[in-house]
Amino acid sequence: MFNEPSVTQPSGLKELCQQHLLQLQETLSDMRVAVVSTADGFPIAMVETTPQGARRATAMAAALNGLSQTLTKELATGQLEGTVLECQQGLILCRHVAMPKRALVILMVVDAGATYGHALWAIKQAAKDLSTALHAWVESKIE
Amino acid sequence: MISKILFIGPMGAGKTTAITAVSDSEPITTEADNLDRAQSDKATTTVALDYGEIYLDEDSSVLLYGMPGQDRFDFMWPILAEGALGAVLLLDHSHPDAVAQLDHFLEAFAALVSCGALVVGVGRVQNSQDIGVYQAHLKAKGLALPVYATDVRHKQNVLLLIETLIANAELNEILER
Ligand SMILES: Nc1nc2c(ncn2[C@@H]2O[C@H](COP(=O)(O)OP(=O)(O)OP(=O)(O)O)[C@@H](O)[C@H]2O)c(=O)[nH]1
Ligand SMILES: [Mg+2]
Repeated sequence: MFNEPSVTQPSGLKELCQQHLLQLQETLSDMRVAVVSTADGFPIAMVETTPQGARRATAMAAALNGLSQTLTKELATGQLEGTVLECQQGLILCRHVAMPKRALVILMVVDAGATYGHALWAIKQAAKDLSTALHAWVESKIE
Repeated sequence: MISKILFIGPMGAGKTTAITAVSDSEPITTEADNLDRAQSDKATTTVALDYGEIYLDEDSSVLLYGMPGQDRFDFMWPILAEGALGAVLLLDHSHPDAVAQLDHFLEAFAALVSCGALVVGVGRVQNSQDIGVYQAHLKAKGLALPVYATDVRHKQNVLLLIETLIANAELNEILER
């Protein structure tokens, strides 16, 4: 009933995230879906899904990341690195992407054929590379 | 006895604030930076759930579950609603769509509405007549649900909503027997 307003993102942010998702897709042939979300669940970039599919996936990514962060804090286990759901037909991996002034979340689904270790490595790398790129992007905007 | 109650309602109505105001234990929250300042001008928003507890005596407590308010998080609603005795529906009277928001949540939680396990708390009211519009709206729909003006920042206000809900739920249970 209530249209969810899509919050306007700074120009260039979407493109940068999209580019990193495409790189991730290249390194993982078993990837089914990947999205980048704001920490409060708005879609920024997506591969292998429709904007509508991405809206659902990003809200769930934000909830999963938020819940994982709270669990990590409540159970005193340091900083959250990421969340992995092991499913019959694949893996769902979620990771926080640090960015100045705001946080993003990357979520990826891989088919059962994917190697656990490889998928984990790939999303870790993608989150790290994206974070580095976002820091540089923000700095270039400030200059 | 352990009972579970829900705090439902639109973004910014005060679900997290209400649970924080009454919980006897440090509340568990899942707040993320809020980018949707047009909808509600506040720093953070709930993305998964809030959780608090009220200890009544040694072996009774009330578990409080707060929901994320936005429709995009509606997949959390049935998960959190499982096994709940009832719900406190919070509204923000200063929001232009408050009555439509009431309808929206009545529909989303129709199962609780149909067994009378819901109370409405309206925040940011100017005077006691302000809640008349919600009472009239419910009456027109054939619903007899309690409506209170409330300030979720105040523990006593929130406790009144919870007590009313529990008393109603107990009464309904007796009537159904
Ligand atoms: N000034 C004023 N502020 C109020 C009143 N009632 C609630 N608030 C404020 O409104 C805000 C409500 O925010 P939250 O408790 O996060 O609302 P929520 O329902 O949990 O929102 P979401 O989790 O985003 O769905 C808080 O900052 C409260 O202090 C009131 O009567 N007057
Ligand atoms: Mg909240």
